[in-house]
Amino acid sequence: MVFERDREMNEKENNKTFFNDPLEESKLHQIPFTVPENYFEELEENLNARLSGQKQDGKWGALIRTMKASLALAASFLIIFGLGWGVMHLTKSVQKGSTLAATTAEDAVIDSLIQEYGSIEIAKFYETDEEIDERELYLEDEYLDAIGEYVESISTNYNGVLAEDFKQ
Amino acid sequence: MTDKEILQLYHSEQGAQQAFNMIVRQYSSRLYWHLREMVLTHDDANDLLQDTLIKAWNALPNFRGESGLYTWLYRIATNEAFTFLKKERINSKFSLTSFESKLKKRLSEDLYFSGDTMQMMLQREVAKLPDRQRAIFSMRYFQNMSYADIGEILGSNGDAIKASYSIAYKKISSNLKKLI
Repeated sequence: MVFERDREMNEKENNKTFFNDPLEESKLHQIPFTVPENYFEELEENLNARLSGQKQDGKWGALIRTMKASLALAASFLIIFGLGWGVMHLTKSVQKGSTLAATTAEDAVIDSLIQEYGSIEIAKFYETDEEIDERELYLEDEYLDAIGEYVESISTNYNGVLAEDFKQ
Repeated sequence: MTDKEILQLYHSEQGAQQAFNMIVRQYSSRLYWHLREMVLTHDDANDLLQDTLIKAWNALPNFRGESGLYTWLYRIATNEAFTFLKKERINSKFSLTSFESKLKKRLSEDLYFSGDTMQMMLQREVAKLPDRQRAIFSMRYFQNMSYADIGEILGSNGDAIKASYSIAYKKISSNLKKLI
């Protein structure tokens, strides 16, 4: 009987606490979740399996991992810059190379001609070539002057005829 | 085995793997329940726990022992949970259901939930709290951790943690009273 009364009192006390502050109930402090069977026993094996595939980072490893994105960005910039510079540099050297090759080929021809005909003849050949050019230009000027004089004389004669006609 | 002994074992020749296994045996359960309270489902908690321990393994060469191993591991786990919840919140912005209702649904569909109606109501109320406050409430209420330890984990002082816990406690208590 005493036991029954105690139980009722305890229940009342519990309800009082519950309605005053439900969070004070001890049951609520327990985490109401479970895990699959042998979860924690198998966890170690699962982790070791995952870790066997990878090496532990060294002192710089963690830093490199955290800076991975920045490093990737910097690397791609360097690659693009390098490719651009490479293309520009190669194009320049190809152009230089072709000019050099042409010059070298011309020099080789001249050298072989010098050996065959002697340097004075070859020098004369070049000299003559230039003179011809100048002469051509000179002749062209003379020709143009002659045409100019001819046109002028024609127009003077024509004016003279006109003047005669007018007099008449 | 104490944290100091684990670290000594780690720095000894060929002892790194053994030390890591000791960490897993000693801390995986506590870290799991902390993560489970944060993300609610077993699958997510399992993924985050494994990620936490692997991150700890990778960061161990740089661990100087300035903070306790236990708080250091909790800090990694809590940050993992925060990142996960942030991503979930962003993803839920593109869906029709809100993040809170998603959490409620997960809770009611969880096969590994073993509590009664009152415990379900409490979990739903806890899920409504902001992430940081939820972590504080969970560490104090369910795991009975000291305010100083929680402060060290979250990079804050004990008084600020106490104030935050008090706000969360009152909020949940008053909401539960309305529901009963």
